[in-house]
Amino acid sequence: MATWLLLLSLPSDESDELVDFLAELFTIRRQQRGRLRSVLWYWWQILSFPIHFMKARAQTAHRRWTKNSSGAGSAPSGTGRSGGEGKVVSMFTQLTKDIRYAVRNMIKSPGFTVMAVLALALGIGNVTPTFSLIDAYFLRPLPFEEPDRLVNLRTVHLPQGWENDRHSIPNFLDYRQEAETFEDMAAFNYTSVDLTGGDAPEAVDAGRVSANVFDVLGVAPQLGRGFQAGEDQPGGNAEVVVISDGFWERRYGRDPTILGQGLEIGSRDHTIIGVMAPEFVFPLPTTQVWVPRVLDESLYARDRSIVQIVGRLNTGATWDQAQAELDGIAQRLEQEFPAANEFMGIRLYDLRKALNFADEIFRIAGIIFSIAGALVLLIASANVSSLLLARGLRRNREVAIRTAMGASRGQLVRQFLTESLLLAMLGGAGGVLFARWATSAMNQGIPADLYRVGNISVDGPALVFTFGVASITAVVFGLVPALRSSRVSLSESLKEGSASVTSTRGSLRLQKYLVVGQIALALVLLVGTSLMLQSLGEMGDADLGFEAENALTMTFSLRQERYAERQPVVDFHRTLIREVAAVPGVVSAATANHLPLNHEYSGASFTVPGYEVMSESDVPSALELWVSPRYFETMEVDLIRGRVFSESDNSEAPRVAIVSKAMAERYWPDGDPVGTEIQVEDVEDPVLIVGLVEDAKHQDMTAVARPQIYFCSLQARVSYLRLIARTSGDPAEMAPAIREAVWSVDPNLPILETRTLAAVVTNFMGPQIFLSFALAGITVGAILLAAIGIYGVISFFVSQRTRDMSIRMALGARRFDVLGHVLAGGMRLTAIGVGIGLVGAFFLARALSSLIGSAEQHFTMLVVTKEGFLTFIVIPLGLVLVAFLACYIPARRATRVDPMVSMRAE
Amino acid sequence: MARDALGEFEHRVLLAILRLEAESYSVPIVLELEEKTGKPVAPAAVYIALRRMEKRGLVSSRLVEPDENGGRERRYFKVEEEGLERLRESRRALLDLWEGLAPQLDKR
Repeated sequence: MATWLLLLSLPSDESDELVDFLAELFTIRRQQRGRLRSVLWYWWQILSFPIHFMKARAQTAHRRWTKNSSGAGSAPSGTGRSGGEGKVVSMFTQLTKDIRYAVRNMIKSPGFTVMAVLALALGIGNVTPTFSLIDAYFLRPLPFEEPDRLVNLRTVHLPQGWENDRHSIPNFLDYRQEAETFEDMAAFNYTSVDLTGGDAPEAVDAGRVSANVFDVLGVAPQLGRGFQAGEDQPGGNAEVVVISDGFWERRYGRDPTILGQGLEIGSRDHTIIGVMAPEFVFPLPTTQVWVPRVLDESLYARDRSIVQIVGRLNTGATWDQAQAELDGIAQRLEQEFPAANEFMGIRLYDLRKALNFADEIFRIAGIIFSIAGALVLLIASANVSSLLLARGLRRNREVAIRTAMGASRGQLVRQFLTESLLLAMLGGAGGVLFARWATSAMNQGIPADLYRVGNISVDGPALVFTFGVASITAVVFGLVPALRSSRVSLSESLKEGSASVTSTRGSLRLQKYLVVGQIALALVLLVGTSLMLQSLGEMGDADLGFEAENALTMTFSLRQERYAERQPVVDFHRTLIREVAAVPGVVSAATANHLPLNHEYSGASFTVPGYEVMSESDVPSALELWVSPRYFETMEVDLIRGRVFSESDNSEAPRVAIVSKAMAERYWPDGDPVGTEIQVEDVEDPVLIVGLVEDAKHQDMTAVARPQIYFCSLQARVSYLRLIARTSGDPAEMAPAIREAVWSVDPNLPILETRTLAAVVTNFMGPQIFLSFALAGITVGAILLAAIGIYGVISFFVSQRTRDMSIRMALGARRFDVLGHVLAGGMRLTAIGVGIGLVGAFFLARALSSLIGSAEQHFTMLVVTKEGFLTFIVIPLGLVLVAFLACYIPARRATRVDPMVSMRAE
Repeated sequence: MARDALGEFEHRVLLAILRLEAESYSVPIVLELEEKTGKPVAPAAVYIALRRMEKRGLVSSRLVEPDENGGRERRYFKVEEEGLERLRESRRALLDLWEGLAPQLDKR
């Protein structure tokens, strides 16, 4: 980072040479003096380099100026360019002086400096990581050519409004051919493929794309070529693969002769034809290989929505024009293919949003962190302001002397502001250190497959942002104290004794406002955080409807090549369950197409006899799940009535289903669903409901359960499946034995993922856990800052009033009275701060509820409940207690003063 | 035209280059200065002094490619005739001033 700073601050033509120069000296110094000292030396050189440069430039200018103005026959003296340069020189000299003076002052009062810098570092360090997060996920341009012209297309069910990001291949080909506002369109999917032929089968994330995808995105491989037209056509050569830079590095050690080498994917030989550049990220950050998707209309029916689409608009084409054209195409397709395209519309969608499936969570996190960061920064600013005010009073004499010696008010203000700026820069540097730590934690904590451009890091823009914030902060916290401290009455200040009464009062009043502000802000933060933590707690305590402990899950994908038919797939399910259940320590085993609380769900529509459909949006529907026999037993979902699935519910037997309590209540409010037949969309025969089970949380953790319908996986070809094994002991320890059992069924099957069910649930709550704990950390900082603030003000108050109090005590006031007097002052401020903070917190809570309500499926638990009111009582009391302690310590000191000693000191 | 006087620091840097077999790059110059003066020297100051003297024609520089063992490209500085002349001038001036002062200094 030091090197980066250096490069930033130097003229570019000289920077490389200088970096080498310093680096070589650094190496020599490290050998002579050890690492720590040489690192310090290096940093010092970095920081002083720009100053040396500016000084040298000023000197040159000065020399030229003196030469010009004294030289006969040269430019008229003191005018034009030379005069301007002279001004610059004197400004620069003045600035150097100011800085030097400021440094000396800071060294003179190390306690103050450390406190102020720490407070600022905490405040600034809190906003930088948020900026880095927002930068990586929202601001940095997508790593494609002219990304503004790229769009994603979605289908929308016009009456019900639900959207789907997938399209059928025939539809895609029609859009691509007909849409004239688009330069081109490409189809893509994120998927995973099995790398076979090695020691162990390995699954890697892959992009299955149409041949023109790299052209549409406007990127070329760093090595080799992209796909050619025809490689995605039936009969074309689709056995080619483009690999990512990371994959090239990891698997081939950047072998330059990589092109033309073979790679076995799903037991088929592919030829490596290209290597993408490291910055290319598509469609997921974890995607490592790209293979062509064969666009065969005969293979893929119009009602099978498979591919995602990225389109490049023509130069100058607007979204409105493109949308209008797509509307027309959608209408035509609906008329021509009503069976597949009924009610279907096409909608333009933001590509970045489409690529990051946690976009909404990041938006919320960004907003919450920004608010929290701004609050902490404000508290820190108030804190430093307050410290500066107190110090300003102590410097009354100094200011008076300088005024007497001819310093103007402007000069004094500039001096004070320079000191603030210097403090802020140091705070900014500290903040950068904190931010670097925080961003590396974020990089590890946030799932890698969420789309972002580059890493979350404290890079150039983040540094500019940080020091920009630091500079603004300096003015915010420094201006008022500077104006106030520079206004001094000469006659009063130069007298021996304490500071002038009037200026003390004014400063103290300001300090009090600042303390009130800090307490109010801290309270707002505290309430916000506690609401988040409460909702997290409620999520943790929520009745899931299934047992998450003591269960292990594994994920497999049965590939088309070996499991094309239904029967082998069904047989696999059967054998897998039998083999895994036979492993010692496994109580029972089952399969399902989706795990609960794993962001995967699909819906089924059906008609219920006797249920009247009022409108298009009222068609009965439920979350659908394909599960094997023993699923309910394994998950510990209770059966209410009827029966669960059994081995005899196979492809020969009539289709059966089991419904959840919420579904029964919704569609059979007065009757019993068990024994009735429903007509499920896309299924010819009627489906018999054979059982009714308790609700189990699947899509979200809301209090209100959603209707769910279960089908038996032995009656279909469920090729993407999850194994769930209920264990008697620690499920993680059972993993190797269960893996062996899986491979005894199919030795070539890669296990895509192994997780305990408890981990799946925890992972689901991940964003909220992350947010809550990050907020809790920020809040602890805020409370500390506020406590330091009130402590500082009361200490200062006490130190200013020592004489006053001594007199009182000499006149017979009891210690207790003095203590009470000081405490009362502090508590009054606290009370006002808490009052204002409560009002603010109330509005924040409402804003949070509505903000979080908009992303219901992730954060529904966050509502201000009855317990929420407790928050508004307990937390302010806690804060009052902290404030009380912060006042009590200096107040006690006040009563310990020996009246004689303090009066003599005067 | 009156020439710019040679600053004290520039003076030292020129002498350091001369001591280093008449041609050297920045790192040995810094080390030489530190060794002879016994004080730490700011690399930035050396760098700037070299650049400034180059502009004024007191020294010249050339870039030397790294040898086969790798390493970095380095800029070697050489004191030019103009620089030598300044040094001579300054030495003469100082010696003139020193003339006859030895007894006085010894006394105190």
